[in-house]
Amino acid sequence: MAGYFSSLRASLTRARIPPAAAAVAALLMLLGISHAVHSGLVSSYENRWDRVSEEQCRANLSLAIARFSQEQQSLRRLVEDLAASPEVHAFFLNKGSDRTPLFERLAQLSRDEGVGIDVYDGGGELTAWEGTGGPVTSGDLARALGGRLFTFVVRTPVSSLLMIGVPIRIAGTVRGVGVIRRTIDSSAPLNNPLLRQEAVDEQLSRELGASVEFSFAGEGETANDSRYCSGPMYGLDSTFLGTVSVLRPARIVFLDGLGNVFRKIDAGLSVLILLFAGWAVARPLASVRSYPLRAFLITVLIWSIRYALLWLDVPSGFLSGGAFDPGLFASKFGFGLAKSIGELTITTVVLSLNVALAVRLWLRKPASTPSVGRIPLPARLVSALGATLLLFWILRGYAAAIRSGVFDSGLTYFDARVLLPSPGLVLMVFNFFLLGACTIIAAIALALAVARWCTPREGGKVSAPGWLAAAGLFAAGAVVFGLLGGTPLTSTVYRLLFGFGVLLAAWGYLKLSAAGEIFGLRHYVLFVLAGAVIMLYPLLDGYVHEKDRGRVEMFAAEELKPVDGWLKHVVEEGLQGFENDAYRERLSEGDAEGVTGIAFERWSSSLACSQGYDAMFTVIDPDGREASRFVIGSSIAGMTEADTALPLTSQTIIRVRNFGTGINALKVYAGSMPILGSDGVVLGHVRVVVAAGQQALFRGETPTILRGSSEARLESFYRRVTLSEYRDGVLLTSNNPLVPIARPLPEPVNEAFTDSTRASLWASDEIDGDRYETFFVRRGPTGIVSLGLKELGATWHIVGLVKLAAGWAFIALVLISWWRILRWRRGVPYRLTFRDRLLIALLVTAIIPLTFVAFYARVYEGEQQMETLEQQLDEETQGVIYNITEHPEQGVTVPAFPDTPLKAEELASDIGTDFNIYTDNLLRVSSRPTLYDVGILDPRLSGNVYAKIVLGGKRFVIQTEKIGSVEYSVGYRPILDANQNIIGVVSVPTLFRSEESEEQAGRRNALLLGTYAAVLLLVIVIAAAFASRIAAPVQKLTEATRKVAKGDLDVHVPHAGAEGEISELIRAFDQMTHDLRRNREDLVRYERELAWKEMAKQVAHEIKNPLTPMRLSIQHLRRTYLDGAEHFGEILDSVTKTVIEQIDTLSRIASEFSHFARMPRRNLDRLDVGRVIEEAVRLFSQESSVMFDLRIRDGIPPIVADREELRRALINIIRNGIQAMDGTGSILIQSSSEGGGVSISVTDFGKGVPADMLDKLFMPNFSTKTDGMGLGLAIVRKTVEDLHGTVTLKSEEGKGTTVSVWLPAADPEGAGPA
Amino acid sequence: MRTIAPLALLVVLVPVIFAGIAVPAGESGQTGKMEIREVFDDVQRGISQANVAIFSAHLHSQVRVTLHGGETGLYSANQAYYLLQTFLHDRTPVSFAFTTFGESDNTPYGTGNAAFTFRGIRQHAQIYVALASEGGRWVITHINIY
Repeated sequence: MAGYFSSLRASLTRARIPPAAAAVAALLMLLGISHAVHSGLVSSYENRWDRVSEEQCRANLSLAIARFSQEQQSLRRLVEDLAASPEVHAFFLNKGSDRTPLFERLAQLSRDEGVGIDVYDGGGELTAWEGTGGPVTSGDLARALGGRLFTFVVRTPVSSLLMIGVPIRIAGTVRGVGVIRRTIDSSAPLNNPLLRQEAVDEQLSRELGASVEFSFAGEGETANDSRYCSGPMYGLDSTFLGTVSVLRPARIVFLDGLGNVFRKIDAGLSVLILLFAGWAVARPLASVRSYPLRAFLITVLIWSIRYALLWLDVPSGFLSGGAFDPGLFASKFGFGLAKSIGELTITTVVLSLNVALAVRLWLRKPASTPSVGRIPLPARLVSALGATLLLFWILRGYAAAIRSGVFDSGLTYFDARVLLPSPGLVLMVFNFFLLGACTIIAAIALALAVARWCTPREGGKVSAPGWLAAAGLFAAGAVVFGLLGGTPLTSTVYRLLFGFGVLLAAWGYLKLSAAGEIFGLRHYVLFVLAGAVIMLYPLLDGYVHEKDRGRVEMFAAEELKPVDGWLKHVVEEGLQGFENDAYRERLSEGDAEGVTGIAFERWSSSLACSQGYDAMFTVIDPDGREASRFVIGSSIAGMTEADTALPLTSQTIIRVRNFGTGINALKVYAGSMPILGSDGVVLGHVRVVVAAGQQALFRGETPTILRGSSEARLESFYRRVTLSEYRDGVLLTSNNPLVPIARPLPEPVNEAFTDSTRASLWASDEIDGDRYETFFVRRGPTGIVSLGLKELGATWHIVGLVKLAAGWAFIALVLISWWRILRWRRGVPYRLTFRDRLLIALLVTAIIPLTFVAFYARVYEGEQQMETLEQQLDEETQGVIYNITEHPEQGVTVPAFPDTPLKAEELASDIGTDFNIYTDNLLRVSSRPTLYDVGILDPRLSGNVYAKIVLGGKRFVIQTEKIGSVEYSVGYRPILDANQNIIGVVSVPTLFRSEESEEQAGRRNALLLGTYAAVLLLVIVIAAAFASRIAAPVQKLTEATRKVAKGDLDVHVPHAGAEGEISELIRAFDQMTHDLRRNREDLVRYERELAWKEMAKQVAHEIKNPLTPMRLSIQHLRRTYLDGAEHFGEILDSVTKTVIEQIDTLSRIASEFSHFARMPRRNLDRLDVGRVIEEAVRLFSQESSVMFDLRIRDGIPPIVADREELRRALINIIRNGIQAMDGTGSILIQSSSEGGGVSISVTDFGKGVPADMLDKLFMPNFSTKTDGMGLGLAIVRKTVEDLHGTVTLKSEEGKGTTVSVWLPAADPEGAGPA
Repeated sequence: MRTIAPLALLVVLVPVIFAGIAVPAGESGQTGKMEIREVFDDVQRGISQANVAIFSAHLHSQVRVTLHGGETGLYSANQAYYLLQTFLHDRTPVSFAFTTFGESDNTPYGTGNAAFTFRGIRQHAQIYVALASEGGRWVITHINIY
């Protein structure tokens, strides 16, 4: 495959087609094919739709039948596995053995598999059970004891149960029967947590994407329905059980589904096209020389891609729910840039990349930029003022984003009830961090600009007056910004602190830059992220607080009065939902069993259920008898009264009744409606009653876990609201038992309300030692209602901070890992510093024991809580028994059980706890009978409890039970007569107390987590401080060693902070550098002398060379003059020419030596090497017979050098090359990024240099040429080495020579490999 | 100029990104006082045309939304916009009109029956919309499609 791609790439390169462009073309072609295939399929399916529909339906039907069969087999296997268990063997083989292990085994099986199971012995007696039961006849048992299976289906009001009886064989003999049950069909919707245990038909419907319905024998309503295709279902014993029907796919739905698949394919292809197109465009953009233009174009490109993704609805179109659910968060910002947490995350990541790119360009810009000092000071000051206001406007944008994150979301940011934040919360906080980081970076950039513009002196350096002026401007700006109008969203103090913070950060940055210690990427990112946390917490905390207060005010304004229109609508919706053909059919059939579940079914899909109102749904047959009823809530008495008072007429009527007054007020909305058959005959009446109580602020009182709706509710505070009512300045009533009876209204509040125009106020209140933020609102002439939120303590805030810090640590870890990986890929070996190792060792040493302690403390706390609950339930069961028994004389106990559910409910209301009473292992009476009535709860006593209490003789049992997805604890206690015989069992469930336990969990977490988090933070801070202190001298020593290695012997390591061996090491190091420095100076002096001697010898030699011809010429001239030569004039001319030439030679020699000895002062600057090469080559443009081949790669980092000096060195190398080719040929010049620097190579294709001369080429005065001083390459080497670079030369005689120069990059961190 | 330009780019870019987020819940511009009937008309038109934008300007900063088979709870105007838009995008409205208008405790409300086509199947829903007066204008505080 790799080979194929390589050859494809090579072909494209040969054809001069960029691979990205080829990919775009190929993807466009695929897009076209996708469209064509989609159109073709649509057309094909439309033409033969009937056949397609039938095939699809039949395929689904086969799958459904197979799945039903598998379900039976899996239930059978469960019983067979049970039969093979030691508990069953022990029971059947040892008659009279303890049955407790068998009950425990069944309880575990029931809990794990969601089944009900009974075990019968060989005589057909029920010996052990667990979970929901069902009717098994003696005939069924006889059949199973005869070694055969039996299968049948039982209908309950809300579901159907598949029951399978399997013989229990031990050693080949049938010893008993196991009967297992599972819900296979549910007639109620699954939006209620009580029903979330998915039935088989629901699973099938979900898997097949088509409605699947089971019709059991005698219920074949769908078998003849043409909308379905149906097939028979058989039991394991080949009994016909009924039919399974699968809804035929509707053409529009089928084609829509197909269209969705192709839409996703098209979107996927479009995204790829977009990315490849972006890549194709990005490459040429990267070579744009102008930095601002390049940054601008790349920014436009990045955001074009982001908006194109939005337009394609990617990824929102693919992923719904979770992070892309607008119910979690949604903002209308930027045409959908933040329409969900997922989209916001993409946007913030894109923004961060963009900011990182801008910073990168800024850091790498050439230093030789024109100074802003040329701009007049007034203009600069105006710019600085504008930049200051811009800075605060950016801060406002950040604050607005945080505010939106709080107000436009359903997330609870500081909820101590949950230890681990939800994924949505983690993502949102991640976004806040990124936005904070971008804000800080932009603010630091602005602060630098402002300080520079405020500096009065010309030039780029920021001076102290510049910083002072900038600080003054920021202070003024922070104040003025709040006065400009609009909503600043931050306090003046916050703006001041932020302004000074970024100014300090900017100052620190410049200081470190000037000292050559520009922040490493890692430290810079961590610094910015830490800043993001510091600036986030106060804002987030403030907005959460503001939202809480707003909600309390809204609560008070809207909820203190019942909204009649709305509650009437709830009743109306409940009634109109009965207008359903399925219900009509069941009512007209007159089958009592079929009608029983109607009330529950209707309630479970009603608005009353989703809103959690106390409700009563009743179906009355034409004879006026109650055919079906479902009641939920604590206002049963009031609802029953309103229900029975409602006449049954031929009209729909709705009436409102009031019970109680003040905060005990209860409003009951009752409606009734006739159900008419198709022929107009009255099939019955339905009544819906909904109650709304002031105690629940006229909202639903049903616990959240039992509601069929999400949790984004007005009254869903993470702190409980204390509602109190005062009349004439004295407490009338309160829902918080800690508020003292007849408590006077707090004096300042009372005083404030003497102003008759005042409607409400916020005040701090104290109840039983706890402080509350309380909203007082006037109600009537003398009434005041208060809504108090408990103030959050320090531990609560610590929990919030720790969660943010944990998020910060996670992001920091990810970024550091990413940075490490990048470095590792660039060939930089992974190495932990001494400080890192020390810190890790200290943290591990401290955190491991702390974690163990925290873990065991939590376990202990959990056990304590369980013990408390156990004690509470123990006392409550005792209390219930005390109230349901009578003691006519000492030691005599007579049962006095309530005989109706209503009496049980009244008793439960009196003693303040729900209860159930079992006699003969069956439910006798319950204070909440509705869940038993509809078959959600099993009226049998739990087998496990039976084993422990009846068989094991325990006096109290607590166990966790489950309905659907709801888990709760139940306490059981036997009711004993005078002889200590068990006459019944009482149970107290905690099903309706979930909110209390959540609140307790919140308090526990806040206390535990807060304490440990504080300790953990302290440990981290102390460990970091110790590690830094211990490692600092070693780090300085390491740094100094690096400098020595680079040749800087002037380093000095301060002794401060170092002790013991490290101090000695530093002293030894200093001594070593001192010795090295002295030796080097000696060596340099010696070399200099040697060089001077060599130089003097050479100068003498060089000067002697022209002097000899001059001497000879002048002697010749004198002789001819004295001889009176005839052609003296010509000789004179010739001799003077020679002398002049030799003088020129002398002059050139002098000039070259002078040049070598006295280099001009360097003017170091950040240079673009490519540009310097181009300038050097341009000087040889008159050399028409030489061709230059320049190959300068992209992304070469800038270097620091003297432009003139570098150019001169390059000219020397190039000139040598030209001369080596005798002025004709081509010169290849290449440059690229390499090993943290820049490499330049100049290759000539001349005659080359003999191998024995290569070593001498860089020596002064060595030359292979007849002219020149041989100083060119020496100058090159001196220049390069002075810049801490290297120069090498490779040559091959007859082929050519390559001179390679490597120079370090200005920013080695950013210089990549070639 | 080179020094300033990347800076300028940076400082222009960040505010642009923040600009829209800077319009949080409750900061929608004033649209002037609207008659109650006009609000209901806009809601009717918006739901009939499956276009929430028609009435989104009337949404209160916190709206109680109840959607059958969907989200239920208290949401910001921005969230309510997307929730309703998603709900109406999945269902093609066939008909909707308010049939009852009423008022209780200064809370005007309207109810009506709507028909939608959802995955090829006709569905009926009852719609309840309640308004409240805030800052001299009528805003939607409650939308129920159940």
